[in-house]
Amino acid sequence: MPDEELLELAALSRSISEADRVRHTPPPGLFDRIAAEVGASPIADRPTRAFEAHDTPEAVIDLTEAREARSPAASRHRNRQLLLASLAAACALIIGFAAFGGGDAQTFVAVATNNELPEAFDGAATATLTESDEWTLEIDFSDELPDGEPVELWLIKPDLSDMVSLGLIEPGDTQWEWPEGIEPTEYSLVDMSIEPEDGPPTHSGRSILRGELRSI
Amino acid sequence: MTLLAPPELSEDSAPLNVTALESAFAAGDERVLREVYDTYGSLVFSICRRSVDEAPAADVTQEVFIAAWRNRERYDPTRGGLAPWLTGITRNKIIDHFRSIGREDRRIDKVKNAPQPAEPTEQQLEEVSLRMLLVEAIDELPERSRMVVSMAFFDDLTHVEISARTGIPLGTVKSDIRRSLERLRHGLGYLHA
Repeated sequence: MPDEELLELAALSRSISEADRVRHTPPPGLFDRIAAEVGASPIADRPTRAFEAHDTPEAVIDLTEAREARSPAASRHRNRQLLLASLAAACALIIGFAAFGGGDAQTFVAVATNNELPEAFDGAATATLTESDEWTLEIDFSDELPDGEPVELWLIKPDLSDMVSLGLIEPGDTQWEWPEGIEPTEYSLVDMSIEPEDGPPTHSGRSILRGELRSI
Repeated sequence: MTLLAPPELSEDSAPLNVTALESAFAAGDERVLREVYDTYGSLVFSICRRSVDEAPAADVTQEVFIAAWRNRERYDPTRGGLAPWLTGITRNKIIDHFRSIGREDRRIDKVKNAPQPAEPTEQQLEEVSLRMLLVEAIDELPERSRMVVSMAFFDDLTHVEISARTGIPLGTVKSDIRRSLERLRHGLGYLHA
């Protein structure tokens, strides 16, 4: 990041006035006018939840207490009450996603980031789950995963009551078969963690990326 | 079954900064129009209100979202966020609004001394929208990053000084600022070359 950009942004930030912080609410019915003009489908009138980058689900989890719940095989999972207590001490993450009400969506997308996870990792990933003959999870990594340390892929329930391992991520891996019997709407957190080779088969708590699958 | 492909990512634009909403909009998913309006409608309307009264601001906001939707294939999330893209359209629509007022006035031969709203210059519109975008972008940073960035921007502190004052390790301060600047670049859009 060039210093000039930093200086430019710093100067711009110091020029912000109170008027720049004022936000007005558009008049009621304005969206209906827009939708009528562009011929948007009735889906636009469905209940929706406004997207905000900081309006994250409670997908903010400290997994350090979940280590014993890690399952070593791809299709195995265990029903355990994991981390409800740790939610209060949640450590972090911001996920961008679009959420919609209703619909027969069969595509799910998660943008997994490391924003405030404890492990230092600069990369990010976009996970897309689609159904053709079978459900397939495809992950597009922005950067190579940490070299020399195994990274394991997990699916976790947002309420932390269960998790499923999809196994270690080998170099070049981008697609995984979605485990049979696992509902994407239930196991919606996609998590990648560093796992010591000789460690226990539970989640290490060292997550480097995490995001939540949302139907689109 | 429609596959919503994630956007192509250039080397200098990690998906870290591209929200799924931006990806879905770029992919032309019509279900996102309401989502986009709910997210950015207030920002667009507020920028309009800096130049015109409520009724014309609503009209201009309507035109902005209609134009954005009809030209959504031109939006490239890897080059910046939806907010700067929408505010660019907003600036053009505000200018169009004042031009249409001028044409109307000439057509009906209005008296020259009738009160007229002050027409902003393009530069004024750009400065206002950039500052309002920066407010949004800073507000959306994670709490610790927002604090660190604010100390760097507003208090003009160095990384070392921020680390000493907050107790946050120097490497973390540097990492927070670097990531925050990437997010701000995306949020402002214009810094992407």
